[in-house]
Amino acid sequence: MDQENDIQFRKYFEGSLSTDEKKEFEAQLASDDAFRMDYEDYQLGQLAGERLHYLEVKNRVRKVRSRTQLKVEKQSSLKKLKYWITLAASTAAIVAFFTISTIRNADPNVLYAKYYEPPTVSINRAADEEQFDKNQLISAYQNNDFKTVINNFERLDSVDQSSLRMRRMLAHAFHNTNNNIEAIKILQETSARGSTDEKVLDQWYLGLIHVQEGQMDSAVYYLEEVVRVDSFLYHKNAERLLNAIIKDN
Amino acid sequence: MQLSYSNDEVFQLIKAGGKKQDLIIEWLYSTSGWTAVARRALSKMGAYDNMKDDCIQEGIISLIVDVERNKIRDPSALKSYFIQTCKNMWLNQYNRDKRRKEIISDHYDKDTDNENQHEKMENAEIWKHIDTILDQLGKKCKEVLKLWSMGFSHEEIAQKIGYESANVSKKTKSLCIKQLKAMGFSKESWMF
Repeated sequence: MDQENDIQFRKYFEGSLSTDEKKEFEAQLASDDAFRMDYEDYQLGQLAGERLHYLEVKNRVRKVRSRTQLKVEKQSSLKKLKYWITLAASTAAIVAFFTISTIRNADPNVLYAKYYEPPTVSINRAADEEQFDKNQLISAYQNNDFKTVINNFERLDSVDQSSLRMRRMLAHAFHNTNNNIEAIKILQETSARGSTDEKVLDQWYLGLIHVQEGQMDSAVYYLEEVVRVDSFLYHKNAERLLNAIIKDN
Repeated sequence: MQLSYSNDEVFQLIKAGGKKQDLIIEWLYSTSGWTAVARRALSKMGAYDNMKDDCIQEGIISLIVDVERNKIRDPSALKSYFIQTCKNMWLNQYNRDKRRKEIISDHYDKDTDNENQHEKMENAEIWKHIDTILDQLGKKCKEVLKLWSMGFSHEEIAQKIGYESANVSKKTKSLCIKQLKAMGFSKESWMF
């Protein structure tokens, strides 16, 4: 089968021969056995080649198709995940926003009422007779009998009267009987004498008492001092209160 | 991958082959919108879902094969060509099924669906037989036959495959056809 035959075969195979050429070609097919066999080989080669080409493209298309589908599925799972993360984050942000704005917009007096709690003072169980008056005062303080604390404080001996613990108790007794002037005076004194921890605690109460008195500048001064100490027990409360005051003013 | 390609770009990328062709196949299956249009057209013609997938896959294969075989003269009509091919695939399938049913009901007093299924299976068996024979050919044989059937000259085939001369390609082709015949590959095996 030579090149010339090849071209002729192709034309006949593709149907591009003229009517006369086609007639001539078919006549040769009928009369020339070798020519017919060559053409049959040509047909077989063409059919095989076309099928091989088809199979190659089919494999390629199927491979890319499954890869694309996997990608689309992956993207859709990622999209779903992103959607849920966004939803959760938005919900958290909304909740946080409302919580913060509720706290920020809270009335400082409401926050004072929420945060103020008289410090606890314990009775000395191994107390002897000398400690009797002291324990009686503590007991009255524990029972919120603040007037008794104030009235009987003078009965304590001079050592106990100057004790920081007892003076703080007296300050809170004054505060709880609406004598904030005395309370502030005593707490200022104890805060100057005590350890760092005690000082912060006194400043916290001084801040709260000033809030109750409506003296916000003084309250801010003490609360700012408190907020500086991260390890302080009421640090977060002090921060919220300070924010509420700043927002309010 | 771009979001959209013009008909000319699709044509060029198919012609380029390799990864560029893969890119176009991926694009056709994802963001092109071509498959969506074809799917809608097939739905209107009453094609069922898995048939739509088959027709679209065949449409893409035909598009690539026909571009590579220079059967498409006007690249600007590529999208229409693809959609029309998908429709034709469905019509051919539909007519084949219909014709089979008619033949079977005319000539046999048998359960139509079973017979239809039987014939379909027979066709699948024949294709499987042909493909098994083709699969036994060597890699170079396959490549030579493929390129030759695409219209490449033996000089071009020799250059592409790395043969010394066009004669080697010519001889290889003849040997491959002989091999095929020896394995039972005949013109008659295609007449179904």
